[in-house]
Amino acid sequence: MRASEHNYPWYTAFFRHGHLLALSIIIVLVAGLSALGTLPRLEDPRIDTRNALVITAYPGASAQRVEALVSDVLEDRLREIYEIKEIRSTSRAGISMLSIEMQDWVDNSNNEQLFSEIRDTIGAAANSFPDGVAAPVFDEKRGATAFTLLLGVKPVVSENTSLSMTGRLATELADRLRNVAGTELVRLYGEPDEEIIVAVSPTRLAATGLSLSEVSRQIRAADPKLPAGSLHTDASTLRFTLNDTLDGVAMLSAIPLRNADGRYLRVDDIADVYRGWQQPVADIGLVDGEQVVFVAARMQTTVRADRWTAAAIKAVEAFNDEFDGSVSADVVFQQNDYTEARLSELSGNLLLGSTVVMLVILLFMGLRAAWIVGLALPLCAAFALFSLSFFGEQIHQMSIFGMIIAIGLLIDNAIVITDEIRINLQNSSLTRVGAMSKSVSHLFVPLLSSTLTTILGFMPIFLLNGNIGDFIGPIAISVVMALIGSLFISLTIIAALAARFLPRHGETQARWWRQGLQTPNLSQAFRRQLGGWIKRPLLVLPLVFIFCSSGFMLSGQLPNVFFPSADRNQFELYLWTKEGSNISQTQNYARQVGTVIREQPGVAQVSWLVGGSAPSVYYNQVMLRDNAPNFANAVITTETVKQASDLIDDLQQTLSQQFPDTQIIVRAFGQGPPIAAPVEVEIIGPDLATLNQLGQQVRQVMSTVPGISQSTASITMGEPELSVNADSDTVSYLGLTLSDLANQLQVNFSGMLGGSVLESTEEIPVRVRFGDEARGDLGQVGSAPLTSPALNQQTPWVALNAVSDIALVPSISGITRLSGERLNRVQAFLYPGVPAVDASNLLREKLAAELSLPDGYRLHLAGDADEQQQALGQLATYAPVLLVLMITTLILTFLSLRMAAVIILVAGLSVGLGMFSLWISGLPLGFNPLLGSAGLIGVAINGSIVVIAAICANPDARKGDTRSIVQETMGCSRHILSTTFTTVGGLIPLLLFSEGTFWPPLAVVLAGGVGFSVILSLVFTPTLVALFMRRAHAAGTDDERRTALN
Amino acid sequence: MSSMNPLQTSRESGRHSLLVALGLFFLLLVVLLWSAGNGQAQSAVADAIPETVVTDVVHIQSGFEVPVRLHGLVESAQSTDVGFDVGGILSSLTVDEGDSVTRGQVLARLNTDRLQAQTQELNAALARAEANAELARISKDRVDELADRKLESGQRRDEVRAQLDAANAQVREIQAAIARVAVETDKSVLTAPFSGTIARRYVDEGATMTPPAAVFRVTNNQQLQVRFAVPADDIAYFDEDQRLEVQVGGRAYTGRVLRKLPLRSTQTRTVDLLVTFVSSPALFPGDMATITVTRDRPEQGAWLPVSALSNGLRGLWTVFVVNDDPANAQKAKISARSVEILYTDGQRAFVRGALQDNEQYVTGGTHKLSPGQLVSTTQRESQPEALQ
Repeated sequence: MRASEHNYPWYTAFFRHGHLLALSIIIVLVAGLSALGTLPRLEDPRIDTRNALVITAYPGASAQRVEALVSDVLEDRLREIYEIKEIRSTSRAGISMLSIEMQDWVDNSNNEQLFSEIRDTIGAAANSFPDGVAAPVFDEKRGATAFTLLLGVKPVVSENTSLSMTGRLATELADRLRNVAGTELVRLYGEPDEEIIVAVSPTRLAATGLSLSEVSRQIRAADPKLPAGSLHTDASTLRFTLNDTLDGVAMLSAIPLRNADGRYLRVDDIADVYRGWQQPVADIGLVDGEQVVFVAARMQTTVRADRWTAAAIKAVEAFNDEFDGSVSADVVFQQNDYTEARLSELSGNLLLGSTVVMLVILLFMGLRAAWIVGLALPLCAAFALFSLSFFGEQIHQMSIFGMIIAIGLLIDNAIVITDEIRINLQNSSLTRVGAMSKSVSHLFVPLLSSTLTTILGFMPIFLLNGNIGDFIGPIAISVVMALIGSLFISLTIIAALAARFLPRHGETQARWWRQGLQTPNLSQAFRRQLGGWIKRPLLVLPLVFIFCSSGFMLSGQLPNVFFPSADRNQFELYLWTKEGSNISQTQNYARQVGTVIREQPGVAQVSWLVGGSAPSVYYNQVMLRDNAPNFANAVITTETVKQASDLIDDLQQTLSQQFPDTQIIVRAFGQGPPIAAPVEVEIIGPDLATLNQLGQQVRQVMSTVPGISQSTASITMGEPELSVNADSDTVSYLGLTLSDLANQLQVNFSGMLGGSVLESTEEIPVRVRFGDEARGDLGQVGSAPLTSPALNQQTPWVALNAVSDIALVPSISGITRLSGERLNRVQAFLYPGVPAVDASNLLREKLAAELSLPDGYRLHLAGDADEQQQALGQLATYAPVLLVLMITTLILTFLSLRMAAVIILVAGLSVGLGMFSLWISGLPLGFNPLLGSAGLIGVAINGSIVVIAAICANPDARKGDTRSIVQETMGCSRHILSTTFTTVGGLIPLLLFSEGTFWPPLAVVLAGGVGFSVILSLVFTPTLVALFMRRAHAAGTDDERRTALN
Repeated sequence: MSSMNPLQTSRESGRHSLLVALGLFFLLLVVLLWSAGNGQAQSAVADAIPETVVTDVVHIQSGFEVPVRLHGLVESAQSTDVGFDVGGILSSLTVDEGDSVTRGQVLARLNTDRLQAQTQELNAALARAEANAELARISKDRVDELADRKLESGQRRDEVRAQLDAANAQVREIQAAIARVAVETDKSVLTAPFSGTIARRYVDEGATMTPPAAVFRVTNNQQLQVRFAVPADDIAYFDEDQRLEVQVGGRAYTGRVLRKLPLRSTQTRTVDLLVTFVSSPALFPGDMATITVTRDRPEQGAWLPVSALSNGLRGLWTVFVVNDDPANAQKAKISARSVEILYTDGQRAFVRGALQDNEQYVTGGTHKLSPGQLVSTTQRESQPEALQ
């Protein structure tokens, strides 16, 4: 051995140096273990931030004005940035919201730069805004990412604790959470905008001859929060401070006011001054019927969820101890529970899968081979885990799922090499190292090529970009890395182990656990059967072909979804009241609906945010709605997953019937990239009234589509508006202008800010407005007093209805645009379990039949169906390149076009088998099965590759000799069967024990496809190859060479 | 397959076991796949389930009443600035702001020293004039006697008579001057012109008054009135002497229309309406008072809850009407009708439009409906209390 050391290739070093072998194993294992300890753990992969919001307030302006003066200006500027894929804007009365989506290739490494460019652009655009438009707020933290910890802060003695006090303590808690290491951001929801309210009594004000804006001006003037200069003496510099700054309610109510007669009065002579908050509030948080302030915290992706959560909970406990008796912060949601459950479930599946695989190997190869092959599992897993950190990936359900798929695949290389070495060891003319060297050099090319084709099969997933790529890509990363690891580890460590430890002279009478299960009778029978099949290609080939292709047809009957819903003990509920409803009205409904839900069995918690999207507790729950007083969003948590799915079924019907005045949508959390609504129709066109009308027609068609429960349109004319028709002549008699009139109405009913009060670090604005008794009633609007300097002492004001007519008219509730064009987005929601893509296709047909669009208008179907198309399109981007690569690999392996064509045919048929398996299971068609098919191709052709390689290696078989072909096929059958069984076995836990609908479709396609593909590799391929060989041989010896070379 | 006979049986058994093994393999695979999908398959698409809506019946009316709220300021019927019509220095003020005064009560006095001195001077002058007059009378008597006895000439007698007249005239003149000073003294005392309250004091003691300057403002609390600025269209709803309820500071008082002023304010386009209180409430001038009148509007239409109105075009609103099909109450079709709002109080609206009496309309949740949709209806049982 020692003498011939130099003649052996490098990989035998692992055999020859025991230290190297042992140390390599240890290094790989330690690397894997350390990666396991340090890699961040999340529930779901973090989708890179590609979405941002720009929110601009323009108080008091109508939707059309906001569209023209704010949204349009911003859009025009932003559309010049080419990294922006699309801009959707919503202009509502008083507010403009732009939702920016970046190109798919933007990721976390370059988005910050882009965001700062966008910020600059927005800043530049803001210069051309008219007066009264607030500075635009840019929010880029609203990606599809759930909060890690959601707390509800509520007062202990709720009747005596004001909301503003709770809000302040919640702010304090938020500050403390920001200090926890690893916190990315903390947001507050449902906290009041604290302000000090000077509620002026119109009666008392009228007597003084002051106007509200005058009062406000004087209060502001009494607030010297300005630097007052310094005194520089020879020795020192002394600063002047005016002590009399506004510092509280008492101070504020004592401010002297001077009226036109020069008489002094104090603020509290004409007004009630009290601490309060802006009314109506922007949003209201409710947990189980009690009002809370939500504190939502998200951790960075670089830390482990369990460690961060422990630290954050400690901070919360410290807070609770400190403010014991005043407020309490309760955990509403912590992602860590789910992360742990999900990861431990998947890890369990991983272990179970490994166990099944080990049993299969034991059955096929015997005990000693089983542990050698089995060692490949932890080694490859360790390698894959370690390599995750190079891709910036974390441990989450996708990467672990990738590992589970990989178990069945990576073991193939180890099985094949171990089996080959076992056979070579029987040859007594070879030394052990010689057996290793021969096996490895013999198998290097086939193993490399089959691994490469498998990797190429998963490559489209690996290369997907955009949200879907972020989400699904980690599966492929795990698989590809595990496969690369498996190839190297099998050819070195496993081969060395096998060569060292496998028995040299196998006894034929050995017990089954020594050698693996032997079934000579079956083998013999199959050998004969195969010989028969090979002789009758015209019968066998069409039969197999038809059987495999039937899968494509049968799967057409399956329901079609993009991604199935999430299996979670949580679901969400949307509630819309009528457009123009007040937030307290919406809150009333939310409370009533909440009470009904809490009475249902198994409901553990109902949390609401009224007025906007609830803080996200699931990556797919994107917060899209802000400042929507007629909207409420609930997240309902049940005790078990089963109860949740039952409740979703029931509640949609129950609640719709029980609350006919509201629109209620009960929706399971989705999976995959977030989609606003499962079925969506975008109507694009210029005129708002026409868009509104078309929207109604589309909604009418939607109501006839089975499975659609509710629909909403983004442009409606349903918002009531009080239209004040003032005659400018009449108003000018009063010495007023129309803009004076608008100002007075604004001040009278909304109030105006005058100065601010500093309390420690809190700056509280002061709002001067009429008391609630004078502004809360539609009947009083007409008698709203207008003042004018031209009016005399006897009648110091005039009622609004004396100079104008007031009418309630419908107005545009909001204007939505997509990349500069107006569009009415009609969204439809489905009953639970209804496949979205099918519903969408049905709707498309109905719309084509029933709707005729005027010129200049066009329809576009969005939603799940559209997203699926886009995702498939992305998958297809790299498909040609990968296909060519795959073919190239095959041609180079076999040096034959025909054989490559056989493999391509097998690949196509194996997808048919995958679809056939899906049809058996009855699971819905969707993106996951298609992903499965991509992976399946890579796996299913391995068997055929091995068979063809073996046949080509035998000169007799090449002549089309049936016996030799059968002989070679039988020689491969053990590999093929064992790899097939290990692949299926590795997926069994996912098939049978994974809760929910996400993994099974993918696992079914893989397991079923690979399982059935033994027909292809053991029957179809040898038959077809034999047919080719016979033809080639019959064509003559001269042609034979040429055919083979082709 | 065609081979030697002795092997036939073992071949047959081998073939059977192969078939069994293959069958078992595929059966197991199928069972595995089937059970993977079992219970998780998507449910079949149910029929479109009609939306549940609550309906009510349209009642067409021939008119409705609109409450109109009017605001006015409480003012005194009598309210005046009082002051001296003579100049002088203010010597004393006997009342102060807020004091009640009765008619004729002394409110203030001017310093009268100068007048007293004048009086004394005049008295002295009077005494001298009277002495002169006495001398003239005595002279006249004596000259008369002498003339009768022809001791004096007629010329002389005429002279003394004239002297007497002149002396008397001087006495009267001085008496008149005394009276004038007395009046002036009276004028330096300010008294209340009517019973009321001192609303305001403009000057302090010692001030030098020049005639038009006011010293006090006296108002009459007992006689309060409210001046409402009524839009000209509404003034016809008021008659003189009409009784109406006046709200001041949350309390109700009975008022009586005093008069409608026949002038329209050019600035406010309103007509002033004066209302007095029947009783004498403890109110203050400057309080804001409110009256509510109901305006009759003879318009054909119906009252609907505001929640029934939705999504209109060009200022019109839509009401969904359920097409009455008694055969199919669970699958009724809704159609959209355009209406205009004539009046709304925020909860209800009086609408006019394409509605017929006794039609079923959808009372709420209209934002989730679209015209032509199928719905299942439930009749509103009773008037539900408004959410709050």
